[in-house]
Amino acid sequence: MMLIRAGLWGSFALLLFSCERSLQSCLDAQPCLGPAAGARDWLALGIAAGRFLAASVGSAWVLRTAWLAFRHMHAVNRLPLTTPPDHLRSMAEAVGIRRLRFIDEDVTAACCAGILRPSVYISRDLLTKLSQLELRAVLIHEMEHARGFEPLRRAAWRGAAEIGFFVPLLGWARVRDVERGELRADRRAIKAVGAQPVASALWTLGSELALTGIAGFSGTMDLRVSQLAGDALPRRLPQPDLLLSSVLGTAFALALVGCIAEIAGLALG
Amino acid sequence: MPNKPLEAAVSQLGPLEGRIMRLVWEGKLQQRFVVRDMQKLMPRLAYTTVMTTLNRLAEKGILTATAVPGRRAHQYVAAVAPSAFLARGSRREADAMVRRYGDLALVAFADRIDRLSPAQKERLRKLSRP
Repeated sequence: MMLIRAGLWGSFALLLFSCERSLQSCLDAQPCLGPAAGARDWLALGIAAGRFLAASVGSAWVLRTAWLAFRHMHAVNRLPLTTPPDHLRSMAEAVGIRRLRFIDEDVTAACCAGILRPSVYISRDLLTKLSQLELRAVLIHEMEHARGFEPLRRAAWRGAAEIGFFVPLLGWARVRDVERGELRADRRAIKAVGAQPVASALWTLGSELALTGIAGFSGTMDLRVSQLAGDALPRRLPQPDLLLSSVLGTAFALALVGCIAEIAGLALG
Repeated sequence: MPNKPLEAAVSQLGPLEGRIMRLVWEGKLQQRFVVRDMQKLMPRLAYTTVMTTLNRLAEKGILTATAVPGRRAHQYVAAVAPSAFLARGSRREADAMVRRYGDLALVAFADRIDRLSPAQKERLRKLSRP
């Protein structure tokens, strides 16, 4: 990931450098904007570049999110599903889950999946590993994710962070959104069954994941444990360097788009 | 009393591989052995059959094969205990699950507790007790 990011920034810088060099050769010609150009010309160019940047980044974000959503749905459709046992279905209905899916495989899985109609997925293995109360806690937690359309939200945030890589603040906001989602879902479960079953389910399933080596996506365990223990959660604000790099990244992107627009204007006469 | 991890591990191997690994894990041979030692315990099998199976087990990482100095033969030693073999198997299954279902793990309930600091891990352990 670091390599991809470094490659993107490198290409970005190279493109800007090449563009600025080309621009140097046309500074004497019109309509290239040279030092003699007025503030109004620069403003107009800045607005045009901003519009173009917003439109292109917006389109790329929609396409990337749609692709992520498609891949997600493709994976969901391949799951080996079967009819859930009656007691699990009753429990799910009792907590308010409208769409429950039962994975017919001996893996430990409890998740929420589905883009337009998010459902709660529970695997067979989970029924033997968790007590009734722990299972209820897991169901409530996942139901909260489904209610918030979190698979879609996460795909959208991931798309935004990837396409808007030059604004590091987006990556930070994506992680914060995941954290907020997990903490909200835990709070809902704690309110319904108490902290102990939630902690116990986290302990059991988290130990299982550590053994099997599956990398959890969220990495929010630390905050979740603090919330379970009743600690005041730290208020997360972006660091100044993150804000600065985001501003610089946006300026960098605008400069590139502006430069390309100027050359394109010259080419079109 | 049956050795549960051993039985479970043997059941995950092919018939001949299972028979061989049972003998290895039960300590019926010396820790380091050659094909001939194994064949003595399985006299009905051809030497080449035993050798091929041992090599296959070595390729799978269940045995370790090292060349005997000055000879063309190899010495074999168990690379994993039955419980470690089982853990590796379940890890492979889990990895396959993630590969197959990819982004489905996007909104999963649990996260790995080995990512917690020792202090947080201890707190969670205490909180999880009834």
